[in-house]
Amino acid sequence: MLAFFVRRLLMLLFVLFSVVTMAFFVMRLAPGDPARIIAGFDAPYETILALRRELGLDRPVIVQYVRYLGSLLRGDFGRSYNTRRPVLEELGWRYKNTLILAICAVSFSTFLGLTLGGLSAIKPYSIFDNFAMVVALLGVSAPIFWLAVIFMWVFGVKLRIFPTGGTGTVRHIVLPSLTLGLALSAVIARMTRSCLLECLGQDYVRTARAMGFGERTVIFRYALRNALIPVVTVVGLQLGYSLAGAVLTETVFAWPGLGRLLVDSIFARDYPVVQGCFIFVAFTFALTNFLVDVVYSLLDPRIRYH
Amino acid sequence: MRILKTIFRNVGATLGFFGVLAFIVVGITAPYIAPFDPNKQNLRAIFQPPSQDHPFGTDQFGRDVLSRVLWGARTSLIVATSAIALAMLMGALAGVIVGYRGGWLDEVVMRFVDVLLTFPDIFLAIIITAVVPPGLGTTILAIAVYNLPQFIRVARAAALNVRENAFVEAAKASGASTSHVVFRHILPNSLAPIVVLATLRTAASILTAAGLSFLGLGVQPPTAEWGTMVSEARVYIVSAPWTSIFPGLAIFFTVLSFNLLGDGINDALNPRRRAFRG
Repeated sequence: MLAFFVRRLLMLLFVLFSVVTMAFFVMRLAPGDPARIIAGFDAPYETILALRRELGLDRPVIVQYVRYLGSLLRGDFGRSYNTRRPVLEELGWRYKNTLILAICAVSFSTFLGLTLGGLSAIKPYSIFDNFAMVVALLGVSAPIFWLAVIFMWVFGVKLRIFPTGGTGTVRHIVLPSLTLGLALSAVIARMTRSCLLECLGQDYVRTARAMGFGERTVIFRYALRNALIPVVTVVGLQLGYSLAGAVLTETVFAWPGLGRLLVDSIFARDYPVVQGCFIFVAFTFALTNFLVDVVYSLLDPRIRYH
Repeated sequence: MRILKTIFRNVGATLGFFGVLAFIVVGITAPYIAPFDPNKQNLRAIFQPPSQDHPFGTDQFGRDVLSRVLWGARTSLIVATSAIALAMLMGALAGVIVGYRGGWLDEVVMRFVDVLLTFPDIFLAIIITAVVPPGLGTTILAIAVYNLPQFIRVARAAALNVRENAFVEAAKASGASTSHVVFRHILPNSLAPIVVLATLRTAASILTAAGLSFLGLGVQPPTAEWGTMVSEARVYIVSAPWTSIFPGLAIFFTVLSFNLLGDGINDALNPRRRAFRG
């Protein structure tokens, strides 16, 4: 168990290191001189030179890279070109907003996905099953940004149930997390259905039935427990994907999160912020994947030996 | 042929097949079937609701929404097919070579794939648009990179399998060069799963490309593109909902068709799953 854990941890560290390296060098490829971007296009040459020296841009790339790694370790992500404030300050509260959105969306999608998938598997090929699976298929096919616009129109403008955008109250989070969660729930529903169906066909379920346990006990105590193991993985991964979907929903609902910040910073060519966003997202995703792996190995001891 | 037969036995997959066919036909023939020039502005006819002349209405510049949706199919078709082809070419080559060779090269490439996979979904495409100026070519490149890790993995797994066959051993024994073995034996025999992956990834690619354009990082206006259309129209959702609804529906039905067809192909190629479905 310990060996498995250590190996996964080392892999995580390697991936994080590579992500940082990639973020650094990819942003080097970006056109434009950062010093010129900060100083403005009409700045005198001396100002730009001074700024280059101040930012360390006159040093060889490899020195800049080592310095960048060093400052990251101290929690220093550099300063935004636009606001001149530390990147971490710009990122922090927006990251929190995105996490709130992601957690709400994943909770909603897990609830919906488990319910739909579970009920479908209990009565396979019934009307409900077909209906639920059609809904799930529609869920994965609808573009999330378009769903967001339609929901905003229907629930925000026509019915006036929820605010159309912004943040502040609990009501503000309903529409963004509903939109985001719907797409994710489709995947969870399909996974739950197929895993539960498979488990219901296993020998131990037949044994449990033969021993005279009620259908409820058979499903909850025997089949569902085993079926949920792969579903846990999917739910964990959904957290990462919800970060991706958040970019689109945040744009529609003006939710001040990381995704919106990333897109705005790309337009503004604010590379330190862009770098910071990528590193935050990759860290979150890598960390959730790591946790999912660990939880998975705790739930299913067979994994550890492979 | 056997695959087609299995597909047509399944209602969903059949619908998907015809949906995909319609998408491709519309994409190719858009210039001939679109009633208007998609970029022709008519400021005296802005925001006209759907009518006989303009079945999908007109947008904020008086452009015909139906014509733009039809041309949008062309844009999506170009982006999706070029990006998938590019990812397939790069991914299949890289995957097959490292799968066959193994060793340190395999380690390096697979760790690189791991790093790419740490950027969830659309983020991988966004990285490209962060450094390359946006446009059609950048969108294709971004979607190709977004698909690359999947293709490398599948191609590598296939090559690992094929490598163990006796005919590979025979070719090597008869003195064939490594490149001969890779290109004449390993690659052709690894193609089936790679082609299946290509069909499965099309739906996600169309969605992601539309998402990129929606964010303003993909195909640029005035080119008719579904994501861009929804993005431009969403401010007018209250006064002119048709300008957002129709391009969105176009994405929705196209992606749905590809998903239905993909499921069907998967069932056809995977008898265990078929039996399991009953």
